[in-house]
Amino acid sequence: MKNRADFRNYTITIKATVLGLFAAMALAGCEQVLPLDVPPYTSKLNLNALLIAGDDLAFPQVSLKSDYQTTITASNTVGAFTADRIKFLKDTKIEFITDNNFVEVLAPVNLGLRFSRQETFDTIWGFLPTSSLAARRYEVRAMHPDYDGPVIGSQVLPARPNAQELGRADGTETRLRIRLQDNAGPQQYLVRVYGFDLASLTSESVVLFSCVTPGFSTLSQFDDFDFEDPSGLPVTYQGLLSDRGFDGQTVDLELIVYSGWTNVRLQYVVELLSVTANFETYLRAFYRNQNNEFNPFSEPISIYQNVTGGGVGTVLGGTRRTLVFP
Amino acid sequence: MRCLHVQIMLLINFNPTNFMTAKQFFLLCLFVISIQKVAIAQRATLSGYIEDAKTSERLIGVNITAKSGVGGTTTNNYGFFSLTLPKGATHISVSYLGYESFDFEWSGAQDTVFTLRLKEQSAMLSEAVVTAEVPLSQQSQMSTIELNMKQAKMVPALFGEVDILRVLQFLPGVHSGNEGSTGLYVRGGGPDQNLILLDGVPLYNVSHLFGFFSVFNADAIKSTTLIKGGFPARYGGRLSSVIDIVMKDGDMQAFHGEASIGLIASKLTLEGPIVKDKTSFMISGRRTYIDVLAQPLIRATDPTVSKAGYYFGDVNLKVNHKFGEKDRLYASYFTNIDRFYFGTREGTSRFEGGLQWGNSAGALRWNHLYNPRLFLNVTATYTRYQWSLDSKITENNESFSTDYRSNIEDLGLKADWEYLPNPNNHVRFGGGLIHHGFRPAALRFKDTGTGINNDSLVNLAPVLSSIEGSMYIENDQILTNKLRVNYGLHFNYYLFNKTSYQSLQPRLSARYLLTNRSAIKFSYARMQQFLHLLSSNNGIGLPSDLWVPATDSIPPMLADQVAIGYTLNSTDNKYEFTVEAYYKTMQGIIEYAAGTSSFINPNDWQSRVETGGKGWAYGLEVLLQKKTGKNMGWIGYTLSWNNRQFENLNFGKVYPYRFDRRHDLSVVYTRQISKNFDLNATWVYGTGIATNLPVSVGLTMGETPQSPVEAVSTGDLNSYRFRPYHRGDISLNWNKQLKKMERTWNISIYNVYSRRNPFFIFRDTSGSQPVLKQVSLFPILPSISYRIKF
Repeated sequence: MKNRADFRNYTITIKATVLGLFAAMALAGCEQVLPLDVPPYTSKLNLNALLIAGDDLAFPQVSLKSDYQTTITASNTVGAFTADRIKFLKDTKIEFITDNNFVEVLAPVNLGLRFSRQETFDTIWGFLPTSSLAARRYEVRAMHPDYDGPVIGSQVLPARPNAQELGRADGTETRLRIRLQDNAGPQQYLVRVYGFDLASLTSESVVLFSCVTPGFSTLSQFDDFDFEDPSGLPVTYQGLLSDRGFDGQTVDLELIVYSGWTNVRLQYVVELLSVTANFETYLRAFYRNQNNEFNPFSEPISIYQNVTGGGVGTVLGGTRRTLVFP
Repeated sequence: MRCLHVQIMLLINFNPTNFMTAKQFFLLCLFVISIQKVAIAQRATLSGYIEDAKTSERLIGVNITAKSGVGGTTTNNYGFFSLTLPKGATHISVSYLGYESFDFEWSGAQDTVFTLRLKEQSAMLSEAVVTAEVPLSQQSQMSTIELNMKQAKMVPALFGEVDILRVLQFLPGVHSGNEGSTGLYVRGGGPDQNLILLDGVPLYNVSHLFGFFSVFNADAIKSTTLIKGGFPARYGGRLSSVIDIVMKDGDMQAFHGEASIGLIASKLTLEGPIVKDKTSFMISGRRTYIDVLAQPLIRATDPTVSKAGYYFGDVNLKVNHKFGEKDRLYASYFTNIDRFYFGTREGTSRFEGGLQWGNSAGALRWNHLYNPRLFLNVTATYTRYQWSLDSKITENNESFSTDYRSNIEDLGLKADWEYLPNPNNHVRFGGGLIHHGFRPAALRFKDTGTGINNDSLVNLAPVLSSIEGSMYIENDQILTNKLRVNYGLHFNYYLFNKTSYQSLQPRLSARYLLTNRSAIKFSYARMQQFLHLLSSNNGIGLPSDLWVPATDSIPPMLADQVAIGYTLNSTDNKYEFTVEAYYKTMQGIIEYAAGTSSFINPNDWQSRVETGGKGWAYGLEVLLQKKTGKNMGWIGYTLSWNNRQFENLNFGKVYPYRFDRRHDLSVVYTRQISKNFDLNATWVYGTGIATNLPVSVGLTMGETPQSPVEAVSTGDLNSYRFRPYHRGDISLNWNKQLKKMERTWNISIYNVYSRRNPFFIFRDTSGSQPVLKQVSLFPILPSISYRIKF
């Protein structure tokens, strides 16, 4: 991996240098502010929500639980060439509706049964019920007196992945084996692997891995620089597994983990998140948006949005199964 | 006449949606070949080659006419012509632009084969002496421009580096891409839709320095032809244009050469006989020396940098041998390289690496004259485009080195026959086979520390291959005194794994003479392209752009183009005026899925493209040329629209192509001031290219939703325009004949009035309020070069 990492760094250096060459040529020319003739922009209510049901992302041996599950934010948008700042709109009324028409008012004052407000980013976060999750529809509504609305986004969450740990094999690299019983119908699974150092109890992080199972594709911001392991498999820190090749069948997954740690035995937690179809669309668009933000020669990408009612934003969902490899 | 009737009936009954079988196609070929054979016994054929009197270089496009008005022809790419006329004495006239015309009386009693050598006109001609090529109004072909290489070399150039692709950009229907780019956007197509042939070999990347210069060294080029529409059936494989470039053959008579030193590059061209009148050679080389000049500065700036720089170079080589009057063999080779490199040294640690790209292309061509009416050319071709990244890290006595490569490699064989049974028919037929090999990514590495060596390339992505076969037949036929038609069929068969595609592409060009000097023209052509270029850089010719084949999930591209035009030649043939309107549709075009970044992961490219795109391009082109005399030049104007539509881009709505240019105007002027001085000037104006403007900024949840991030959204695709592009260039040549050589001082000024043309725009957020900024590349750039010819 050392050699590959060197090569990766070198490749990135080359890219930076090539772009630098352009920049140098640009500086040799001239840079000037252009007078703009664009119509005034009308600010919109921006609703974003990620609805995660199923297992908590937890490290059971150390009783550590990840601090996010379901999150909802309401903010505004601003014109790209104005001095206005984006604001979290604390006075937005947010309703959370399940498919049995049970309505919880989450904001501005009542946060319901399982939700609270995270102060730093003014995000509402909480936990969805862990049982009876199949095909449950959730809807989020945001209303603000200064903006068009209500802005509505909804998701039908897929069933919790039916999977079990088959064990781990430690050698030159660690192999984690999982048996997955796929449900009938098209389905995608977002796969991440977390490592935890049981000795120091301090380091919890996603780790790089590759996946042997056909239908797996990498998903990351710099996936153009993803590298292959010696057998030619792409190495990534998250990926999507499509069930096109094993729809409704049982399949054994094998994840080859590259923690970068030596002489330390890590506990691994595999996150298997059954996601809605637009989840992938969103993530790919998001990474490409971020990746291309400073490249004037690439086509820009707008973030995928799926809310209605005159606002902007994205409401996505998934159902999690966590698998622990002590 | 019966055979002709059969041809016409076949064409009338032809329906492109019902593809013919290969058998039917062959039958059609046979019918066309059998045109009016019975009449041949009453005729005699004058055939042979036309050469330059001084160098024996064979001349392309020379006009040979019978003064009796019964027929005429032009020489082909190998200088060959054939003219079959009724028996009896005839006055023959041979003329060619820049050469003294030659008239003679031919007895016409029997078939005659001869080689005629034309004398070049002296540099200073009086306005009255005018010799030109076949007037455009007489040709059935439309949308075709033969570049006058002498004039092309006089056109002012960036850093004084003469570039034929830049000259082509001055022609109507041809747009340049970004500022400084040599990319060609012909009638709405992208740079990948141009079939660029060098001695019959397709080249896949013709850019030096990310597109600021082309790989073609003008000193080594004999002729350049651009075809924008009405494609003859002998061409295929690309949608939008054919750029047919022929290298010089080499002087058969005497040794001579050219050398030049410019601000950024030097060139040397040598040519001469190996065996006089039998074998000759031409070799030409060019190299930039920015890196050599910059080395001391770079080292002074950072002592840890052991080396850093960039250079490009190219070599053209051609050898040809006459085996007799009937056979001739040509061997051509071309290679070019661009290399960006750097290295560091700190203590016992050393790093060296580079990015390199270039073409290697070779052709072996054999001309054979079966008889005065039947000519054959067989061509074997090899072409490869490769880019690579290499690095070597040395620490103490251990080193780790890598060599990453990506390439496309073609092997091809084709045969082309020309059959001229009578003055009214010029039949061409033939076929070819190309094997495309794609190696998207491969790695070689060596680690002396661990002893891991992999001397052979390991493929990091599957190696792909495909086979492309083609057959064609075309006939340039004079139907009546006024009506001349070039019609034909091009058949393609393409195989990738178990997926095959085939298409029959009808081609038609027609000319109807209104007067002796004016004509209306019409053309239709269907073109298919089996290769795609994945490029997400909006016209910046990055070497990592990836050529990929049509596959089972990514079908080939298809284009249909119709054009109608009017051509007028002045009575003295000094002036030529053409106006053409065209409408082109494109199907099956692909684009990178929005936002895919500049460097391409070759493993899953198929999942990253939007397929099934449609394109529409239409417009009007006007060209007024003065082709001879002391004052020469042209004015070209294009009014055009160019749109695209993809199901998954821009919400399925039609949007303008990035290089959609409503107005494009070019003025080229060359003035022979005196025997020793010529002054040249150009001016171009173009509507700003389409781009995307950020519209709003909002939050999105990002990867970890508890820390949302700002994201910029744009409006409709390509809904904003750069500022208009315009630029003026001038150059002055001072020629002097010395004792043993001719020398020329060239002074060029690029962008005379230092117009800040946009290269790219961006949203600058460094201040209190975001602003839109434009970056320009080249302000006023004077340059000087010195050239000798001996």
